[in-house]
Amino acid sequence: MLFLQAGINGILLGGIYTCVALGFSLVWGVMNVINIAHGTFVMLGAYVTYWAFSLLGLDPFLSVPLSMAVLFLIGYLTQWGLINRLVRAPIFMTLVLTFGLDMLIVNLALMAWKANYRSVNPRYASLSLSAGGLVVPYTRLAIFGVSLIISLLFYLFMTRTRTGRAIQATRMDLEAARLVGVRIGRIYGLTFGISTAMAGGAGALLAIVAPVSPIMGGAYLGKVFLICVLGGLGSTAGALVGGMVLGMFETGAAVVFGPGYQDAVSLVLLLLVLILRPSGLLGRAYY
Amino acid sequence: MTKSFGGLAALRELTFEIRSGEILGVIGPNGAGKTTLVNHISGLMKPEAGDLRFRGQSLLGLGPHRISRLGIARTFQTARPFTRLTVAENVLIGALFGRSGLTRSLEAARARLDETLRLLGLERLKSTRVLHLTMADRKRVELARALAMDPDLLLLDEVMAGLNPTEVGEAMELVRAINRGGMTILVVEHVMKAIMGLSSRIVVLHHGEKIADGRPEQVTRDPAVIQAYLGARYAVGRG
Amino acid sequence: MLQAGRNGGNAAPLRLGALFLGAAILALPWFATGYLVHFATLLFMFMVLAQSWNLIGGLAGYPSFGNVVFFGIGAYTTGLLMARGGVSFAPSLLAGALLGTAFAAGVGLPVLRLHGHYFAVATYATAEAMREIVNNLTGLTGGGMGLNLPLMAGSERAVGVYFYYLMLGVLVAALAVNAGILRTRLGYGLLAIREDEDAALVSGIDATRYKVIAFGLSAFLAALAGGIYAYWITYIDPGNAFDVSISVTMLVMVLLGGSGTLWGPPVGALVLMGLTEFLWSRFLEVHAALLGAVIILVVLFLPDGLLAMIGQGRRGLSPASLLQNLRRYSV
Repeated sequence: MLFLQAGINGILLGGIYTCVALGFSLVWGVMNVINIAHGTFVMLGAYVTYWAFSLLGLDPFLSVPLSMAVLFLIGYLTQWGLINRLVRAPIFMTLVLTFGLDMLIVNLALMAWKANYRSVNPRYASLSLSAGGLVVPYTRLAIFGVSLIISLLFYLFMTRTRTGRAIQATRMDLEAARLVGVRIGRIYGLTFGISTAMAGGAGALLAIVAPVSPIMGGAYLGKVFLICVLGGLGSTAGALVGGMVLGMFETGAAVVFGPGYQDAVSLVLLLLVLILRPSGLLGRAYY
Repeated sequence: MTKSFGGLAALRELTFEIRSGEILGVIGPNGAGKTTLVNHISGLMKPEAGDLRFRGQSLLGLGPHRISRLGIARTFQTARPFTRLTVAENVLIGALFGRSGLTRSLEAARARLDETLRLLGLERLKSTRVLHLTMADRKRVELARALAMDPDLLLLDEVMAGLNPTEVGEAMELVRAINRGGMTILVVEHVMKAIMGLSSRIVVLHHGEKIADGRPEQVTRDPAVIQAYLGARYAVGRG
Repeated sequence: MLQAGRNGGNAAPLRLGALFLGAAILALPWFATGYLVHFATLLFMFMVLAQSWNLIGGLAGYPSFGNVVFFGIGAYTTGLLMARGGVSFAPSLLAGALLGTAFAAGVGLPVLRLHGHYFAVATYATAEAMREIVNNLTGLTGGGMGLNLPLMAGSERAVGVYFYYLMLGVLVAALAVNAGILRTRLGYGLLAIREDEDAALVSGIDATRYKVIAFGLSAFLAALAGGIYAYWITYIDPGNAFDVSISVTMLVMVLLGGSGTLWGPPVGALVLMGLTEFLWSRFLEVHAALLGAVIILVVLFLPDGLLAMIGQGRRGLSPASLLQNLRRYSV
């Protein structure tokens, strides 16, 4: 029973993870940039929701589009100003850049908002669905639902709109896309913006169930990497499955080993997956 | 030997041999599997079935570095010298790690380096970083690196690509000179003039299979070969 | 033949300057304050770490984002042996260094098969996982409450001076190792691997073996630094021994000074630590944020590192050349 509850919690949590992972894998797949600061954008999204809630009384679910919009803008500008400069650089330079960015943003946030945990408590937070000994708060169900909607919208955007397809084309073959007239700089800006928007949306949802603080984004790098490696870059369904699998593993581990091991689980899993995957899937293609 | 890539068999049931001291040409339309073949021999890819023997010794299961040390050197289709290193450093690496490399001292390797630079006319450029060189020079550097390894078998993968006619002529002379020194060479090429002029024997690949094997004049008249390159229409009424 | 940074050459004034600098470094503890000695020791430690990172990241081209794991293993091994086992310093330190190296060899074999991003994140995950594990094994390691090491006998001043020379010694050894490698087969092999691993393989280089050797050496030096750190500071916890920003700091120092060179890492360490110190004393609150900004600026404007920039003379330092660097890797 405990495991079933944990399993359900895990799946519900997985929805948020999926949104975060979709954004991360988009930038990785299209721009070959691993954004170490991605978790920090999640944090920013959570803060937008928090401030909207405490200053304006805006219901957190309603601030999801707000967070997404704000983060889209932040992402677009960040890409235009910074990331753009290093897109063709060796990998470890972009890694250092995003690490520095992460450090900068987190510490600015710490300076501005202090390290205390904030929470968003809408009035309906305690309502839940009970069935057969299992308890599922409505908020969690709603969060899961919204994250699925966001993921679906993401998928539709990528596959059905012209811009989305331009992004996919850029991903598959940069030169060809350029030749066909795709404006790479703009595409990259949009890509990064969408990525941070996804992170922002996830952050907004996260704020409803988790405490908000400047350092909350830290654990996400390991998690999203695992989801991308498991689910495959560029696959929405893969991110969905990966997100839920991770969610379940984490809640399961918390039950078996204790809450302190939750983050360690994703790291160890990540290592195992990286090590055990047949090298043919990971190495560079020869020709 | 057979090797499949995600459903497409790149090489199938291919059997051929290369004899000591000859220059064997390998031609075929794009996608025929020529580079895949070179990758297999040099150890970057492994066959799913079959065997590769070099002087009676099986190459299966040996990593590329071990295969190199047995005396097989290769160049790449798009030349891959070490770009941020100098010409001398590139060739020195060949001298240090090739067949006799590990038993050589640094000075002996330097001597081999100088010899090879002279052979290829690269002394002038020895301290230049490869990234500042033209494509033709880069190919020479890569070739020098391969030669410094003292191989018995040299695999040249489209070494003429991108060269102008004069350069092709020079390259051909170079290949002949190397062969005269006793080196067995396998040349993968698209440039017909080079292949016809250099090879004592030609193997033609198509869709991963060998469709012809013989002297250059025979092979170019072979209807199967003509069909592979130009389509069935041109095969009728010839040879 | 290989780039060894801007070493002295044969110019007499440069030789004299280097000699003077060497003498000053050796004599420092006699005329400096305790604080300065401490700072210098920390600086040497980071130079060692940067040098160690250079072996795997700069020479072999494998960007490790988790080298702090070796530092932490060295620190905890030394710490546990001394605090719980009553073992004296020298054997504990050696044990820590050897354990770190063994760990590198063990983890290295699977992890070094990965490339680029995958390798970076795998090393990052290894370090983070180790931190969590050490944090959770409270019974053994003291967990989040940390581990206290026995204090060394002697006055605070004398102890400080001891560690100063010890760390300096390790630094000299690290420099010697780097310099030595650059002239040997191993050095050439690593550079080849960095440039083009497949081409290196077909040239006869046993890439796996060389990578593991580089990784192991890197681990040895980092673990040595960690073990000394533990006894020097006498308190370690998972937060400071396995701090991810140490991993990145090493990397940034090498990047700043010049990756793959001999003197790049120490120069980078000096500049970055000097900058940090300056920022800390003036802007306590914003220090970490400014450090993040500095990292961003370094990677944008100085992709080749300071040594390369200085090597180009006045031209290298001009705004025009900095702007050019900015555009170099743009879309």
